[in-house]
Amino acid sequence: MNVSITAVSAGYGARVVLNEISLEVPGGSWLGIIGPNGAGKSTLLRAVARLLPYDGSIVFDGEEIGTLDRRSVARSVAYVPQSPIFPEGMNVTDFVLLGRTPYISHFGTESKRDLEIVFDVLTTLDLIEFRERPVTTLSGGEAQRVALARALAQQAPLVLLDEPTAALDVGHQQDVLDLIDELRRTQQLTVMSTMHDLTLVGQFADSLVLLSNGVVVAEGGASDVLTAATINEHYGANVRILRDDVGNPVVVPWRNGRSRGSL
Amino acid sequence: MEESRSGYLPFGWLVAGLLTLIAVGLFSILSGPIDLAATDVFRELMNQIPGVSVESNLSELQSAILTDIRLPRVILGMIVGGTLAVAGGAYQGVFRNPLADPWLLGVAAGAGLGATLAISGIVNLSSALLPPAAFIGALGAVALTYFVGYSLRAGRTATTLILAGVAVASFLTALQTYVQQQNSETLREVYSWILGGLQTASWREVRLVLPYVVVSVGIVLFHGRLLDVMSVGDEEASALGINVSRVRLTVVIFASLGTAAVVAVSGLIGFVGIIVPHTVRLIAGSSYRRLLVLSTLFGAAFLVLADVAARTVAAPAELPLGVITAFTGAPFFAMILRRAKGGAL
Repeated sequence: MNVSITAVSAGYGARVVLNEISLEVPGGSWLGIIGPNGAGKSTLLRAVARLLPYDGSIVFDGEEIGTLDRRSVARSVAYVPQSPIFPEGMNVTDFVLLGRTPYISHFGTESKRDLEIVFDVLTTLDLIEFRERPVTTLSGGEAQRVALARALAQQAPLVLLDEPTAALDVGHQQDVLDLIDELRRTQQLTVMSTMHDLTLVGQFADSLVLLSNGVVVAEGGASDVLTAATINEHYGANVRILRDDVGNPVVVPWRNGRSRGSL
Repeated sequence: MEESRSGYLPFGWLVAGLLTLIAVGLFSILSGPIDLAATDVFRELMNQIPGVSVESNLSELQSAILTDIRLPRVILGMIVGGTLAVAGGAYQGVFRNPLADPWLLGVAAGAGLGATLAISGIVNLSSALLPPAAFIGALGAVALTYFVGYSLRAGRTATTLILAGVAVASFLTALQTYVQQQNSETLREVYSWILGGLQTASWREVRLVLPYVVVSVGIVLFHGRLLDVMSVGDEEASALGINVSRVRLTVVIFASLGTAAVVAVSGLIGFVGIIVPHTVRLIAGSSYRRLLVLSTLFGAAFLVLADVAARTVAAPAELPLGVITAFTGAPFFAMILRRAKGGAL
């Protein structure tokens, strides 16, 4: 699903966080949204999920989402917040079943088909043996997979991920990102994700957009956006850009004079 | 596949709830200063079913005690207990707050003010009009809370609504206390109403509240699945396609309507709306599809049982029902707090 964002401004009350953002996200691609704290990354995802009032236009495959009802939006876009709420006493199956909410009538109940979809998703994500575990007992990596499972059960062509790897160690970060990439390819999903780890996002996303103070300050491929000068300007960080085996940028924080292991 | 779910209502629990309710109901009917033989009571009850005629050995007086005094009191107890418990569970769901009870948005304070005005004759009502006065006071208070909460700049969140409820309840309680002080000769009557009870129960009260209760409890019960969705918070529930503020408004309106109706005939019986849903949560799980139905059944049973205690513990005197529920409720509440993990509160 193609996403066109044109001159979108949004904020909280009188505070403007996004200022006339315009972006094109081609269907089936992965857009990595980066930027310093408070740049408006999460706000952009919330606006696209229509969880926040905004000015401007957000169009999914030619359809302006501002005119759709909540349920139709939820069939088009799945949103995974940075720290999903895992309710006390709910097990994995029921949590993932919540993803079927936009397909169930107001006073209706889940059908056998909904349950089958959930079991397919649980199988795909290797979560089937967790199906009766209370969601509050999951580890960080398991919890992130379960949250992804709910988004997949929603069967929305656009998936928004707010810091999907924030709570994970480096091994689980790679696992989750590999999984997202595989799902994106096999299920033709369009992915927009915010991420703090610049090297990882450069390795996985097709293109990057750098937000700073609510405006787009750089966009393009990882090599174009992840330059030492740009990162220094907007993050105020001192970094060097190395290259991995396939030429992807590796962003390394640099401490002047001390980084070579000098004691 | 169905068995790996935590969110449906197991048939076994439904049956257990119904059987408990029936057993408690029969026990209550048989309890009292005048002994009624169980077999005779059973026959007399069978006689009430149209088309069934069984010989019972009850005297006319015994029969009248059964059908005009004990039976309506048991039925009214079930209605009041079930409604307060399900309303409490529903409030806890829409506000995602385990301490929410049916009084959260000012129902009790409003009903108290209405009842006090009626009892003290300020608004020139005979005390027969106490139930309508309490009912109007209760609904008026919730309407005021919604109005105040939604006109706040801070936004239409659950928290602003709860805070508005605190403000409205304090204000109405102050008014109620003032009216009560100005009419100190009615102090005793007001006080007795506030503590709650089913002494005045008759078929008239049952008929009075039944339509409100059937509609409001029915609608609240239909919201079980939506309350489960809302347990992931307003933002995620919206992202899943739920119109959160509309669901919250609907549930609050009908839970408040049911509460106002039962408060009007029973006074302010505290703790049922907290004890019962929390007990159900601990023993049967926290999915609202279980919680609401089972709270209705066990709430009904609990209040009937408490009423048996109220009228037998200090017989022939009757203890206020609110005292019994609070006496068992407060220690129970402490236990809940001990068991609750940090994340649950």
